[in-house]
Amino acid sequence: MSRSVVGTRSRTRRATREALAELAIPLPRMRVVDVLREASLSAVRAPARTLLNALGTILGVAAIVSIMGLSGTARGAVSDSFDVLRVTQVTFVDSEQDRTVGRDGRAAGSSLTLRAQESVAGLNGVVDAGLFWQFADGRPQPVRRFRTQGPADLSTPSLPLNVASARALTTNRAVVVQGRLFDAGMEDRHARVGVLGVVAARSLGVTRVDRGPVVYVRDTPITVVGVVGDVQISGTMLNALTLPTTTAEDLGLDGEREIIVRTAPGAAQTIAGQGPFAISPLAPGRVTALAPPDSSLLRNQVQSSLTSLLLALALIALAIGVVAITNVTLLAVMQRRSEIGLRRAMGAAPRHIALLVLTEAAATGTIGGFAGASLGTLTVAVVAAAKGWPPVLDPMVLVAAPLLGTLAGVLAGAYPARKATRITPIEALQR
Amino acid sequence: MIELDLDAVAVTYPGVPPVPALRPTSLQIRAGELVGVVGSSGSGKSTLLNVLGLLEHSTAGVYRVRGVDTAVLTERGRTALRGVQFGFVFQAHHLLADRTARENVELPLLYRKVPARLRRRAAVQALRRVGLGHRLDALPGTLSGGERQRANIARALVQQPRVLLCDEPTGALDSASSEDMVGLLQGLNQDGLTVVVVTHEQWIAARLPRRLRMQDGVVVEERPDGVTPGERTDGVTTGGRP
Repeated sequence: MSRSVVGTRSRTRRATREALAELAIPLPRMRVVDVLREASLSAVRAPARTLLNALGTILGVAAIVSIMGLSGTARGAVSDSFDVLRVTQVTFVDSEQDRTVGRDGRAAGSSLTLRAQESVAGLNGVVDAGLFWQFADGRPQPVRRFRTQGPADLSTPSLPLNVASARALTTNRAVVVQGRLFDAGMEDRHARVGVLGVVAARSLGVTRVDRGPVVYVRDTPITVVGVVGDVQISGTMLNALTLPTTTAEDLGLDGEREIIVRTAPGAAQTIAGQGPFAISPLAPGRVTALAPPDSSLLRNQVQSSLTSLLLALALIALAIGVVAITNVTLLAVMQRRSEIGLRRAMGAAPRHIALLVLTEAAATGTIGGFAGASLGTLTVAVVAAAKGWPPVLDPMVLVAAPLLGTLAGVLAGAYPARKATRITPIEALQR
Repeated sequence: MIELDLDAVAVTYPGVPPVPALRPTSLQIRAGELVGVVGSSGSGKSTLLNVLGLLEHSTAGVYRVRGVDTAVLTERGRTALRGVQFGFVFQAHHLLADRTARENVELPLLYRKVPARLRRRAAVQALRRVGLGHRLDALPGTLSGGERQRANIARALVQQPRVLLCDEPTGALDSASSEDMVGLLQGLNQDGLTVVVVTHEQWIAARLPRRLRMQDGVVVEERPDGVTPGERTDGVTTGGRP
């Protein structure tokens, strides 16, 4: 703004002040309490218009509260899932395992043995631990249903051969659909037994196990004691024949061993650190722990992603709300041109009109904020109840929601207020 | 004392060609006068009233209120002067439907920082003055046409203006209510208030001591006997009680 324009305005203001002083007329002024009273009266006396005005805020704030509440609730559920399924599992592998099988069938250099399994199982915080491996990296091996197999072995089915300690079956939470699992006693006795996965049993034609059906692995008869229908960790068991570790060693069926450990929630990181010493006290460095990321870190990562996504949705909802309120407020201003013109004719300065429109929009926004917070809370409660989740809603969200409504009202009222100041008093007379 | 002084004031609306709503007019209205402005529709009556009430800017000439040139005023200054100097009575009452009669009458005082208690007292006095003391808390929708127009006048009076500008105040009233209204305006004038009444009804104009006739944007003084002498060559009409 140039100096001359400022100077002219200043002179004009001075001339106005002098002229009004000559007539003993004060400049129009309005008390703050009267602005608030007028705004609240307009809001209260025209409930339909207020409700229409507030609707955008109600929906916007309700969306935000719902999203924040539901994201918090869902985060809790997701965290629980991670705690139960992921962060309680640790797997140990021997990075220097010599896979050369000795005359006794044992892998000559593996530190992962039944004894190591027991050492790990004894650690504080371990719920269960089991030794497990797949023969030939899980490539299918001939498994015959009978000792002699037809004119040719063309029809001999092939199955992956899994090897598990009795504890590994329970660690895996194997669910038996027929018969039973082999136990530590059978394992100690080098019993020629095994369990079939439900898919493998179907492919071998084993429909019942109560009569002790036999399958042949390398011409060695293996009595099927049970059929497994579900496991939680080693899913390959469903399509495989699983043998006890001692039996597998007798048959020379070794592979890349691992000890699967299920820990108490929050203990995975500790067990991952202690496990190598329990397994191989003299050379812990050769044992590698495959633990999931720290649970809090994992949770934070998931929560961060979830929150960012949902916050973006919430902001979009708020923006839609602000645009909606702006439209409705603008419409209300246009409908009230006559009233605004009348107020101007009676001595209201443009700034008073702007203040009234803004205050009314803010009051409507605040009312909408309260109503939206209530609606959002109700939504969170209903959805959480339907899903069986405990509802989680940060109290700060409930405190901030009405303020957000006020802010949305002020933002949405700014443009209509500016438009309202341009309404001239003459318009009141012309209508 | 000259209350309002128009010196060659004109209003021309832009257009092709420009529309002269009020041709150069010089007019003086003294304090305490009761002036009627008559004329057919479109003759410029309302434009004259709007210029007098600072609702509309003139495009030429000088307009003085109690000797002060209004051209020096900013918009806020014009608003201040309008709010204190003038009371407006509109044909359509423009009462806010969601406010009681008392709350409607209080409105002009909101912009003068008058405390609520004093506003209420002033509004009640104004309503009693126009004979509506018994309808203080009535909503406009429950008032008769005559009562609404009285509330309209009470709202114009509440700020104790020096000049009352009335635009067709009886336009929406029946003959009995119109008679009351004219009596009320005459009574206010006798109390010292300057009153300017725009009307198209001859019988009302006939009861006013000074009459101005408007035709095609030109103001012509009518003599008390009802004879229109025609526009003076200098275009000046001066007032005062006949």
